Amino acid sequence: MSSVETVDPRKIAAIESDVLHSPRSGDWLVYAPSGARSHPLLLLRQSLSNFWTTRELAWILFTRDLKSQVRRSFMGYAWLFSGPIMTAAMWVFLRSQAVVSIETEIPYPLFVLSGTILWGLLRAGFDATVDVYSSDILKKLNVPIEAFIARNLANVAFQFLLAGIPLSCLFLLYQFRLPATVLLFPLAVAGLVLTGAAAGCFLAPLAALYGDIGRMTHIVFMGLMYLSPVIYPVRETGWLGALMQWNPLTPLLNLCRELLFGRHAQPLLPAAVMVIFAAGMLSVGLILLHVARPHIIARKGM
Amino acid sequence: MSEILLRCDHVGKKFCRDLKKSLWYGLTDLAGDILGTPPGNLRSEEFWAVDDVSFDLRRGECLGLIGRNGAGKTTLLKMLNGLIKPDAGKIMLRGRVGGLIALGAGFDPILTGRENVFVNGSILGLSKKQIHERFDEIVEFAEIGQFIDSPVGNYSSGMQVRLGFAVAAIMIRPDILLLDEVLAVGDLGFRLKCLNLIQELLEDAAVVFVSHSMQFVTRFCTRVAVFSEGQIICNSHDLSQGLQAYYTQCETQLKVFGNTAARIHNEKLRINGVEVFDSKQAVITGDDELTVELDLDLEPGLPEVELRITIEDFSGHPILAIKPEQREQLRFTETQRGVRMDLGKLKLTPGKYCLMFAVVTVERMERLTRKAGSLEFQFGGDHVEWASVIHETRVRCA
Repeated sequence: MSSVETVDPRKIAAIESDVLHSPRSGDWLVYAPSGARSHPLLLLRQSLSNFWTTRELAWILFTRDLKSQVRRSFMGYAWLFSGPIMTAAMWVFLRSQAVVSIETEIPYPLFVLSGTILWGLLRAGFDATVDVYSSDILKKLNVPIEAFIARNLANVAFQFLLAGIPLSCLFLLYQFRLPATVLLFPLAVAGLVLTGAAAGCFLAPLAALYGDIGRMTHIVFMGLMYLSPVIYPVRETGWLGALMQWNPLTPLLNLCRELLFGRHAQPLLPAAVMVIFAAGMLSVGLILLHVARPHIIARKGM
Repeated sequence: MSEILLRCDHVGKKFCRDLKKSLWYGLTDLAGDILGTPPGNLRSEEFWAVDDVSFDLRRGECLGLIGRNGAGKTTLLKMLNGLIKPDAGKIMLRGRVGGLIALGAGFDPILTGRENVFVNGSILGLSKKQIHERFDEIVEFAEIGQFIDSPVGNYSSGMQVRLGFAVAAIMIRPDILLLDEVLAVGDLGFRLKCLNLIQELLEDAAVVFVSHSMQFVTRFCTRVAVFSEGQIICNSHDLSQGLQAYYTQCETQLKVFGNTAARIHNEKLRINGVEVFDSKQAVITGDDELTVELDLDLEPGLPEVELRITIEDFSGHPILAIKPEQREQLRFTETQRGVRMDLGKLKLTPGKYCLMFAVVTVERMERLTRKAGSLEFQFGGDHVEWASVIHETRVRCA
């Protein structure tokens, strides 16, 4: 090592633990074995600022996927909400045949379609972060992971906008008037999506390493749906009632529905707690995604 | 001396041979990273893919990483690119890091070339405005022309790589440039353009260049580091020393093609008249007189044949054809024959070489047999030239 004199050792020590990209010239960027831990807040700040700096990339990726999806399919965007509609239609049919008996305050088709759409958005929020490592680009180039999360979340937002089409059709059909509280509805939905995204962050490293996680989440989500007020409202009695009342997703789903249909918004407080909790968890989750990335690529990247 | 832009300080990276264990170690390493426990010693089935690697690189320098497959070159490059973290030591970089790696990342076959240029450029960290400004230059360089508005899926594979290369090479201007064996793509004409463009990129950057092509290494690099089993076994500004270290790791393979109608055997090399028993051990200099001897077996009844001899460089490229002064001397009709040939003094750039013998019929030029990779020898010397064969001449001021 011939030329130690050109590097100021104090400067190295000061930035030793900074593993993130700092493109300002003159600054040393250091990659070292363990260093992420010592600056969790710095990592979070970096992660949030990455969302801002990569917004253009996120948008380009988002529009690329949309264009490519539409150009290669006949029905285009319709596929984005076909799942929730099918599930809802099936339950409306089952109920009409008296296979199940479900009593709701609002017309049942409205209830069940709003439920399945909300559930689809929660799931999409979860997928937005849990699958983030599967991108080939991330394994080969040092692109901020935030661009891909933002792209995925933009997809969820788009899905949300599209879901308005079948919902408004039903609203018209039942001559249901939109209440003023509907203005707060997107906010509540954002809380729901963020909750899903936060959960996804924590499972993403595990899911990237082990295929079991993907299969498991599929089953868990299906089970969880029946313990949430998606297809039927919260039961007052019995085991199911107790489970549904303890399910942390219940207040969130109820809040969304009540804002949409203009009922008295009872679960406002628990839902607010839930959203704040989710935002906190998402922050931790973002740090985790950062720290885990090199480990995932080292084990799975080609 | 220009500034140091890149420093590797006792860098190490562990890999695991067993997949199940590897995944589990990945999880425990992640947990250790969060809890702040430093990575420890090797666990079962683990090995150092990169082991105690240290070097500095300055602006304007180009370091060639050479070595056999699996020696750890690409792993090091991934660490320099920040994709994976070292398990030991540290890497320090200053300035923008860019590379000609994963060309055409993010290309979608459904979208048009134009749309894909923006996607790809954006992935490389460029703004729409920047891409807009040099868009025409990219299209012109890639020679895509009117196809720029067709879906990339309809492009030939050559057109796709050309477009990918053009976006990366024209748009990025890094301080630290990482190159991984994608130097030149496409057909011959395009490759020449690529090489010129890369030469421009090299001038103002610190470059790490992974390659198996010694031709490119000698063309671009100012230093070489030879990897073997994760370690740098030779790190030198003297390219010839580096190349020799690399060559000694590799074995040429004796290959015989053709039918048994004609056979070549008992090849021998003599240096200054002294027979060499193992030519691989021999280091030949420009002052040595070389002689080759061999036996030729021909089946009775063959038409007239002649013997051809070519010197090949280590990668199997023919670099020098050897002909007798009078062609007839190497024509044979008899069934068995010893041949002796004086090669005289050779002037070659340092490296490993071998001989290729072929027997062809005189009339129809039909090749009866070919023996490649024979009589491998090493040419010594201090100075590596870009070309293999050296022709010395007198130069005067006119």
